[in-house]
Amino acid sequence: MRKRWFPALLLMLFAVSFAASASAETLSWNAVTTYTDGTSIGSATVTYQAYWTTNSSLTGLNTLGSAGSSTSRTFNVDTSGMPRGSIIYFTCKATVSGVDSSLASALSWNVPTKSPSAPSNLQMN
Amino acid sequence: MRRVWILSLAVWVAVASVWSMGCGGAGAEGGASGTVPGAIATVLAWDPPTTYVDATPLNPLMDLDYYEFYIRQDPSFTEADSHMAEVNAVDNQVLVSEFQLVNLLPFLPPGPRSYLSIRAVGVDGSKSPFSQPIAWDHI
Repeated sequence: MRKRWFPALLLMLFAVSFAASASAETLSWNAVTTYTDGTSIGSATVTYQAYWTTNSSLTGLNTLGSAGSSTSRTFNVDTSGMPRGSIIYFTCKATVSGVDSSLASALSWNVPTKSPSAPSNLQMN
Repeated sequence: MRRVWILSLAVWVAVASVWSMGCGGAGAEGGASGTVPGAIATVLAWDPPTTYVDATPLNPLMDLDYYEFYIRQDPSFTEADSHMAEVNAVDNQVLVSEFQLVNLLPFLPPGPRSYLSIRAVGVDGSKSPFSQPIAWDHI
């Protein structure tokens, strides 16, 4: 019998962290292990799709990376098109056997600005 | 008409005279040499940044908004300092990398030597660190 319960997306604790390389950040979350009725997902494959948006109501979602079983996504602010100096919102959904969870609670993030280097060779002529 | 021309020349000579007194330039403690000794400096010049502080590329034509000019009696510029003048980073799609020093004369602090520094400001409002200060000797 097909499970009718959605995967429970317990992703409240996901966070954005800075990776080692310049301008690379990582969004991570807790793995989904149960359905919404509390039963274990067991060995079924869970895939995740992360999103970002500028809308706190989580509309107009932009995908962040591709769907996969990893519980993190590393991204580049500029190539992702995120507006520096603005607040954006991350969310994520889990999929098990073709059944999607609801979206995780939004994580807000202030996209950092990037300062120019100082002008050089200052001189009076 | 001739009188106007003479008056203009007189003003120019007066400014140049102040300038010749004010811009001897010198090596500076904590700051680079501002000018060649004995030369009359009229322009402050710089190289626009081409990277962000994280070393990623910056296109000064697209990514810079303006420059800020700072003057102090010592070379210890801080975030608490206020800038005295601004100039657009791009003018008619051409990079701006010079500023007429005469525009800074009203802001000279008392004393024989001042220090100049500038900051680039990005289109998102983020400011660069201060440039290496240079000394500006004047009477």
